[in-house]
Amino acid sequence: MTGEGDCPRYNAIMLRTLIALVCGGILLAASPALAQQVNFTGTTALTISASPAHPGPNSTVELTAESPLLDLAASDIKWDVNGSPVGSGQSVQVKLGSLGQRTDVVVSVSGGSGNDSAEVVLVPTSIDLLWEADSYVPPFYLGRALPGSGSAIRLLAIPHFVRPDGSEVASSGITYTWKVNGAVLKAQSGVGESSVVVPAAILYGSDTVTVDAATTGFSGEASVVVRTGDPQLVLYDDSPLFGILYHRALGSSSGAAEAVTSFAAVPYFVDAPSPNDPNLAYAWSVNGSAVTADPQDPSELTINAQSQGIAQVELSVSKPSDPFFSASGAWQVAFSAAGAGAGGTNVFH
Amino acid sequence: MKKYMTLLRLVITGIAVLALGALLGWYYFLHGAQQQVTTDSAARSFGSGAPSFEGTAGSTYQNAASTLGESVGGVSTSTPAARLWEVSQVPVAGLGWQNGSVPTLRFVERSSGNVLEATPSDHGIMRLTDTLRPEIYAALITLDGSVLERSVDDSGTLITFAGNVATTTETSATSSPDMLQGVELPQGIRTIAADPLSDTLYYAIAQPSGISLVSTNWAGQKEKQLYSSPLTQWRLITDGDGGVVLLQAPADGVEGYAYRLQKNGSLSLVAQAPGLTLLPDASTTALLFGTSQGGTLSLFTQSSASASPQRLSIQTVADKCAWGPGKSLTAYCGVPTQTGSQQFLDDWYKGIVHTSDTFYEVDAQAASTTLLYDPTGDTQNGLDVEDPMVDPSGQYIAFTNAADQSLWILRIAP
Repeated sequence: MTGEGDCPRYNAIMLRTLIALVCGGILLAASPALAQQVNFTGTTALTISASPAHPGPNSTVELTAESPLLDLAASDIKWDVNGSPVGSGQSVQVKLGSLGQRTDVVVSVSGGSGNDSAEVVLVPTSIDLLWEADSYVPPFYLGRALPGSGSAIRLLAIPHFVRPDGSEVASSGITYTWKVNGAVLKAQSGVGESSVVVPAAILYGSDTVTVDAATTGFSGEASVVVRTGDPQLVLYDDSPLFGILYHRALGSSSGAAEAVTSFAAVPYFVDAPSPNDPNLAYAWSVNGSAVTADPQDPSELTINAQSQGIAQVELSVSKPSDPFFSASGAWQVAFSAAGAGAGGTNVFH
Repeated sequence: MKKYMTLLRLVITGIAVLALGALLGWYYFLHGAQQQVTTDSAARSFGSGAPSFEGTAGSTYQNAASTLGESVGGVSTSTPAARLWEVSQVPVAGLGWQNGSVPTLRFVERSSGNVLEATPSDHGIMRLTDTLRPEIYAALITLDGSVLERSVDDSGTLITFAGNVATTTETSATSSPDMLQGVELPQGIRTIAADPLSDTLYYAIAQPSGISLVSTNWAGQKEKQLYSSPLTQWRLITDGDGGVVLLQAPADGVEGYAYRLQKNGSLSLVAQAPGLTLLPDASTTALLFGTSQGGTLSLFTQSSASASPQRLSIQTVADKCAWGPGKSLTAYCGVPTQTGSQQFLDDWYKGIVHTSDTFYEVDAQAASTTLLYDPTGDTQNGLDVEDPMVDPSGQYIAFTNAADQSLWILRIAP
């Protein structure tokens, strides 16, 4: 802070500085030869920026020379890559090599505002960002569990920071910074923290999860957008011989081979460890009449058809603890005369 | 005196009559009782011979077929000259070709866990085991006849059984079914693969913080910890040279990754694509991989680890493909005539959509494809090819029809 008594001295310093700058400017303008002798080498007057900031293997990166002191627009700018000239101008595009392959870039600036050069070493890195949800899928399901309302997402970063000798930097020695929609997860970031568990976005929403990874000489970034979708209710025949026929979902109109047929409802991507989780509420109806399911096995319904006909099976699944969760479905199941028993006006029991 | 003699004679005669009557009564009583015992014993099957199967495939097949509403009376209705053979109409849990001079396929019945053997040259079928293991959801059979059977118990726990067919059965085609002997592997195995060349199993088992990938022998011994991951949804694929590839469970339109597990425990990236499905060649470093996004399928071939992927003209997933034997870089794929879903992969895995496929031969070196077989004329129902496998001689492709898990064999040559 400057007091009242310091003003004359402060003003004097400012005046001397202004005179010096003006005189220097006149000298530079009057004598280009003299101006070229102004050399900023060894300073940070010239820098190189890269886009993207963390280029991947075999990608093309745009390099741009930047300077707060040099008049780059009026300067002669030359670029060299691995010792060979590749272009001129303030920006240049450089094709990188494979993972871990070093690319040396030098930019030289000369002009009326001064001379300078800068160099950068580019080593392509990559980070695989894998994710899965912890939602329910049935045993032996070959696909991936996707996030549903209330579920969590597990993410794993696998960085590929390759040294010149071909070896990769161990994941345990890399510092990870995790972000969800730009907000840093401090508690789950740090050295060796290559995985994270985050809650899924609310229904129909999406989250952008980003991981920055860095260690001496290497850095990288990866991000992924994860969308939360509806659970999916699928109905299967539960055969006494074969078990649940997961390979053959019942369509909106299906046939039943037996007069007594059990159906298993599978709520894909629900936030529950099993279809019979006590937090799930099943409401079955057959031909408009509510049917009470076995409390021990509420995801299953057995229909005993007395004669041929069509059963309109409806099911809705809710989760009292999660107002966003609901799933429902309707299926028409035809019972044939061969499978069904005889007589009776009430076809289904 | 005469009077005494007469009396004595009468007494003796009476005793004789009484004794004879007692003996007759005793005979009739015992005989009747014996008949009752024999009848009861017969009712309990005492002394009767061991039940024999009706036909080589057995009555279980016929019961299952009738339950499904299929025609009964034999597994095969086609002749050996036919190119396409429906080996089993009832659901099959898994299959595997066998080593040997004659192409032989073994498969596991889903309902019973029994192992059967089929020979495409004569369309013969033989039941090898009668050990009941009901409701087998997945099975795997190696070239040497080792069998993995996977099921779920009442509490939802994943059960895995590793065993072998008793060797006595294999020596005679007329011998009766034998036992499937083996061990239960640890519960909760999420995914498992068998090395085709060694006595090694790779499996991922659930841990509190994810999964642990271990290797053991087929007896479940010599366990080695190979890798651990906070992610739990992987598929394991043995690559034929003693290694294992981890493929992230695919989802339509979602980036998937596949890695080869290195000996030092690190992962090297093999492929990366949305909706990634993968099939490494067991004899070379060639790959087939598929992508699925927005209802569009693409199949790529990579002839070696250093080669660039080439997009093929056919649209299918790698799950519908199988490599031929040797280093010919020839593969065979079931190609859907149409997919019928905007999220085909997800809906196909859920059993919501099924396809009608034609077979193509893929030359991975040239990245070219040739139509091999269109089953339209030989079967009324469409064939949704799943788990295809080419026999070691390269003559046949075995596969299941994902629509009903029936088992089929296609002769490659016309």
